[in-house]
Amino acid sequence: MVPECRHEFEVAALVRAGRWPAACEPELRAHVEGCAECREAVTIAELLLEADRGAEVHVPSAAQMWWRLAVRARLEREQAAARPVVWLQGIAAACGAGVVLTVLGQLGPVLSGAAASVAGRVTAVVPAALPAADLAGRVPVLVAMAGALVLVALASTAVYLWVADE
Amino acid sequence: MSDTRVTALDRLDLAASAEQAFQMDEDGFGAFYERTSRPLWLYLARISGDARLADDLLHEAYYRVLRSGTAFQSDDHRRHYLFRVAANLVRDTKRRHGTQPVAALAPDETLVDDASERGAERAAERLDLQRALTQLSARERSLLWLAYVQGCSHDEIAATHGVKRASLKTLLHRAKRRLLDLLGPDARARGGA
Repeated sequence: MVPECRHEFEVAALVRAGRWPAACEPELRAHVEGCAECREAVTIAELLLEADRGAEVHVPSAAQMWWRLAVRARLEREQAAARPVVWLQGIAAACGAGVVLTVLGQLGPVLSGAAASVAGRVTAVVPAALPAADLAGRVPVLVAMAGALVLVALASTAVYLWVADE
Repeated sequence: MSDTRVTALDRLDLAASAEQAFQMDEDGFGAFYERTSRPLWLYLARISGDARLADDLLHEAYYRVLRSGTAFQSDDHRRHYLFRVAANLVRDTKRRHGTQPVAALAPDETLVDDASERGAERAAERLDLQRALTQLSARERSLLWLAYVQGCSHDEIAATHGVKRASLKTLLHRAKRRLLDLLGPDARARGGA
């Protein structure tokens, strides 16, 4: 069980107010003399308050602090406002990539035929080049990648221009 | 080279956006800050043991209070909330950077020169107190400061430290005893002067 006295905080408040012991009720003073808890409270309060009173504190002025807080609030607001734009760009890029892949999937057979034809002509002109079968396999992939890149770039630019106008 | 001058219009714009963000005007903040900045800085410096950290956390504590969106019932309520935020900030900082031995504040930061004999005696007492405080944990220092310097109630301190009221009494009692033991018999003899 922790020893406790209901006057402890009252006495500490008097010390804080600079009213101990001179402006204290005689009854309370008599109580403190006989109460170990209150005496300790007086000691601790006096020591801590005295240390604080003697301390040199250099805090910014209220105006300086307000100014710094205002600048910080504005920066955070601007960052928060820019966040949706980044998200929109990401979503646009993902949509663009999806469209490209869908289109390529639909046009796959046509592109394979065209690629085989192009590869056949290339090997006829340059006999030492890659085998026709290899080229035929790689051209659709290269075309798909180039198309995807173009679409992503276009989508990002469109989103940027749309947002920049607002 | 970019132009970094701040025009009067910029200031007005910034002030308007700040008041919108903070739900408090500059005059209201100024009055609140004048009353609380010194005790708050001392509290932060005492419990963190680091004057530079206290500078940073002072700024952070006011920012969080202004952005909290809490409806304060009184200035006292706001003040207690500020100290609660400050205590949490110190605790989080300590947790992030690990528990380090607490250094005493430099004497020139805490002591005011006083050439008189009583002044020298007080300076010695303050140094003893500083040494003793460095032996206490950050939580013990915080409990003592909130209770005896800030005059917070048991309920307020318990809420600040996230402990039950009954546990708080025990913790506060232990902190008090520990500090008095570290200060030695002279300190105990002071009580009831």
